[in-house]
Amino acid sequence: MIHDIILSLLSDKESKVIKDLMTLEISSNFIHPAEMKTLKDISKISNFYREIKKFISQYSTCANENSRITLEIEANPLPPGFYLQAFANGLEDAMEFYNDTVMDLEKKFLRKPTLSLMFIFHELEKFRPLFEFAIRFINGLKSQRLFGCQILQYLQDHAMHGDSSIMKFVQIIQKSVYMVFIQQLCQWVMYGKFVDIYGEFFICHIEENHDKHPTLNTQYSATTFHSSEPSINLDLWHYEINYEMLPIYFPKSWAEKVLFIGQTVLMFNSDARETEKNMPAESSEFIDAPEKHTVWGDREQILFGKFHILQDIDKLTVLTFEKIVDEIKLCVTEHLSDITVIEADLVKQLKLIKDFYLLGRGELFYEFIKALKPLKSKNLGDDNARAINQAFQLAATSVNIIDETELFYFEVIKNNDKSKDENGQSIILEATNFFDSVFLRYKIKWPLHLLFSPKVLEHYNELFRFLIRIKKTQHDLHLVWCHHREEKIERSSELLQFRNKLMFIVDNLQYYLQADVLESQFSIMMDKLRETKDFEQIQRAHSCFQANILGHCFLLESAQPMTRSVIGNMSTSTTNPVFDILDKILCLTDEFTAFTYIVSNPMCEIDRQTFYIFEDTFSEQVSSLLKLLSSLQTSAQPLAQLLLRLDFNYWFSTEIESKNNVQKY
Amino acid sequence: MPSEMITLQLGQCGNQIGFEFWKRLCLEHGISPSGVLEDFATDGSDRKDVFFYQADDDHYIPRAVLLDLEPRVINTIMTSQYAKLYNPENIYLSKDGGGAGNNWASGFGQGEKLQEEVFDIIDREADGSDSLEGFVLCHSIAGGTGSGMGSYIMERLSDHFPKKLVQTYSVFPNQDEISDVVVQPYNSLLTLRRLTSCADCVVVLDNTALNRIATDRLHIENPTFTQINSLVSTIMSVSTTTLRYPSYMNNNLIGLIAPLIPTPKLHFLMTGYTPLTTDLDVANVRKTTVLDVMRRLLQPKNMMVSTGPDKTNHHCYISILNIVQGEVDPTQVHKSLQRIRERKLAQFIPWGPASIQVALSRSSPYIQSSHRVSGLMLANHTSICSLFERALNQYDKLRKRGAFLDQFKKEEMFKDDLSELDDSREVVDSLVQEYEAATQANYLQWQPKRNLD
Repeated sequence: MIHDIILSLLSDKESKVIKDLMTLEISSNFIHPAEMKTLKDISKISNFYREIKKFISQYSTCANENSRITLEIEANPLPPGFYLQAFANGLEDAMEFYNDTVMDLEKKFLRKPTLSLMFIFHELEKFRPLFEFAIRFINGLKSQRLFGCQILQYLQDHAMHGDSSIMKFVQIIQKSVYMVFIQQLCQWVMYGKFVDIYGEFFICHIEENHDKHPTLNTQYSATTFHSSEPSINLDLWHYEINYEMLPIYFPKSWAEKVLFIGQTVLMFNSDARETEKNMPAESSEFIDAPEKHTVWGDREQILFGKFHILQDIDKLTVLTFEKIVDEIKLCVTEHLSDITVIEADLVKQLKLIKDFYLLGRGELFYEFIKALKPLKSKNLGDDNARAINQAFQLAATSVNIIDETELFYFEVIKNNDKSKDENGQSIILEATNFFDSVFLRYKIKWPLHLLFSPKVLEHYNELFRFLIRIKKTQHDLHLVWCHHREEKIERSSELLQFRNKLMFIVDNLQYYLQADVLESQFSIMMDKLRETKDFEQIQRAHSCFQANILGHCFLLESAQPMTRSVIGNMSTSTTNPVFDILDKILCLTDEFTAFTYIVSNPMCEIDRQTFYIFEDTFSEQVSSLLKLLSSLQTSAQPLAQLLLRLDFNYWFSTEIESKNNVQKY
Repeated sequence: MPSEMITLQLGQCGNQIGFEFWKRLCLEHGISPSGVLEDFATDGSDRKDVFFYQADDDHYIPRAVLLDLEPRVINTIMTSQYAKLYNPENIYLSKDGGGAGNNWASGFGQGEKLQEEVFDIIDREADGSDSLEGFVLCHSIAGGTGSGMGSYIMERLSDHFPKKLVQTYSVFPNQDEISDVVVQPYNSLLTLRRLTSCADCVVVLDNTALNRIATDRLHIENPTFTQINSLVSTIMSVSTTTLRYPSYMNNNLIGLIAPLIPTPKLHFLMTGYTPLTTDLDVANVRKTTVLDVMRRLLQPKNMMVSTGPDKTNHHCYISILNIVQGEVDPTQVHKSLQRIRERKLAQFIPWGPASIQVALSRSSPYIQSSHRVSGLMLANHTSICSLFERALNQYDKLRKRGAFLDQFKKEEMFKDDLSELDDSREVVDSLVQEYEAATQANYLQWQPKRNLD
């Protein structure tokens, strides 16, 4: 009888023996009533075991499809995954001890059949808390429907249990789950890829989502420009951190590092592909090239070994992971910064960015604006981009910049919302919103893809649009100046005075942007670059640079400098109050410019009315700009800098004050 | 090649400073005296095409027209090593070579006679440029050719090219020494009238101040023409540096002068330059900062115009543009502006917004500067009217006596009456008045008083 009980302890199915013993009358023949309770307890333990076993058989690697179908108990099974499998495997390993004990028990019983039920109970009783814990544990997992790396988090939460056997139990499972994690991590970090069919890793590959960028019209009629480069670029940026999957005991910065390393490796790989494709006929230089470009070199084996060692460690801590990732990162970044600084000529590339996106080559964009002028009156169709690029090329040749412009080209973004309202698909090339629909593309030199992510370039475009808009306005004002000169408009003309005010604002805004923002931030960044060899520092300096100029150009909602991780979520809404005002002033200037050419001198009554509206709007905007400074206590520094220039001789402030006084009395 | 400038050099002085200017540009752009690009000039980010054009054989040729009525200076240029630089067809010497005899009327009259030939050259040169932006005229206002012929050409330019800007570098005579040109006050006044009405922007190069700076600041006892001219060429080259080494702004003449000149008549600009050194000082590179430069530029002693003491202290800046070159820490610009504002180092007009505009400019990589930072100020300051006032006074003295008018009466223009002189006086006088008025808050409503006597 007792042997039956022992056998039932390991069986999958509910033991008939125990059931019979407990229910049937005859049982009293074999069991003392006092032993009834013991028997019940033993049966409970075996029930626990069964339940655990059920879980294991359902989810572990050994469980084949058939068994799963036959079992078919679970109403709502957990989604399959490597981590869950590993968890189940770990659980099975952890149960090994119980199996051993039962086997041992059987041996003992065979040797000495007089062993009592009590003895068995005594041997098994120590498993009860463990089993109870395990059941709770499994149920917790099921009810929370944990998945992938989240399981790691769950395990870590329960790893510190007071009961040493439970602690050991959890550790065994943890080790098994970590195995999967380490494998994925290792593959990602070393080769930039991982097997993750269930989407369990904390780094995920995002499929190109067409809903996300409906505005990008990539149908640019390329005859010269398109190469395979954009695809590499895109591929690289399809990886993101899935913070839901990241166990919270891993710091976010760590995850970012991991993402970064993988991306870097991917980038190196993509280069290798290119070199092979592009220059197969190169001589000895080429043979050296792959050697140079492999990130790891001799270190590959060593690092790989380190990951293997990790798998054998029983008690892994975050520190261990941090250490190894840091080590790899150091290796990657140094290699990378060597390449970026020396081979890609980072400094030159950054200067190019400044020259083009930030209008450092003022004369080029001046010509560009001039060359665009004939386009504006027309309603161009699909060949917008072509026309704009032609204008750009024309401008570039006229100022003798040829090599650099090959790296830049324009695309036209079709704004679907607008074209729905207006008829047809084409954009009306209007002065005010013309540049809103233009996207300046940059052909990134190979290892700099990490620095100039699509998001970064989008922000540069935002800056570009803002700056070129100011430039355009300035250009228009210059034309008004010439117009007034030719018309011999007298000093006393109000038109002329108003023009001067607008010109002053626009000019000084530009001086502010040039000296106080762009040049200043650029020099700060260059100083940082000179100091560091670490690519991540370079990246950070660059991100800081961009965040700061965006902030100081009033393109951010809040003008506070942002850290790298936040940039990803940066909102691009234009609700910055300063920007709002500047925008209105620029619009006003556009209106005024158009007005200048139709107005008669001296002005007739209707013109005069319009003109007064201009003046009022202008002083209203300027006064709100000045008010804004006093109301913004924090982060007002850029505005203060701008206003120092605008109100240098206190003219605007006195003017507004006197106006207010007039209104009061 | 957009925004090209054609330089017209007139008369002895105009050709001399023009010559220095081109020498300087050649150095800055790495162009050899014969017009060939030097081997070391590999940095292609400058814009040579604003002032030069490339001939078929890759020679760089200045867009310059050299005009004179007497051969001396042009001959010097043509025997120098820069002889091959210029397009020989652009050099015009009057055939009789007699000069204008320091007589404005003679220069003006000869200009009229020779206009066809001269404008053939100018038209050809203008046709050769894609989108000509304007003309730069180098001349002095005191002599005969530069002032007289210059005046005539200025008038014709605004007829011929009404859309093109005319900027002049006008040399004002030295007041501290007695001139051998007795009719200088007449010449100056008559030229000033054209500068007021026909030019868009006049950069005043005041020989009085230049000499004073040479003696006081550079410690040269008897400054030679060459030394003075090197100062002038510095001013001319730096004031065009944003055109030639473009960056964010001020990349064309209009962008440079439009903000400086809010009202059409007040277009006479002063310049200041710092730090000033002679060739001997080059050895030690000094650590100048942006603030140093900007502060010094506001000091009268660095101004290249001698305005005389402003007793009532009412004169003020209408506009300022500082072109700062060298290893500038851009973050310093804002601090400097703040400091200047706090300490009230500059006084501005009360009738409109005004500030110090600071353009950070690149400079030639081929010239070693002895200073970390250097700066040029282009300023529109009301005190410049004292220069015109002085010219008026001298004119009045001479005119009262009716002295030396015979020479003028010989010429066509003054045969019948001297109304031209009176009209010119009127124009210059109202200019002075306007500058005075510009110091007041009600300037924009101000009306000029007419002198009835």
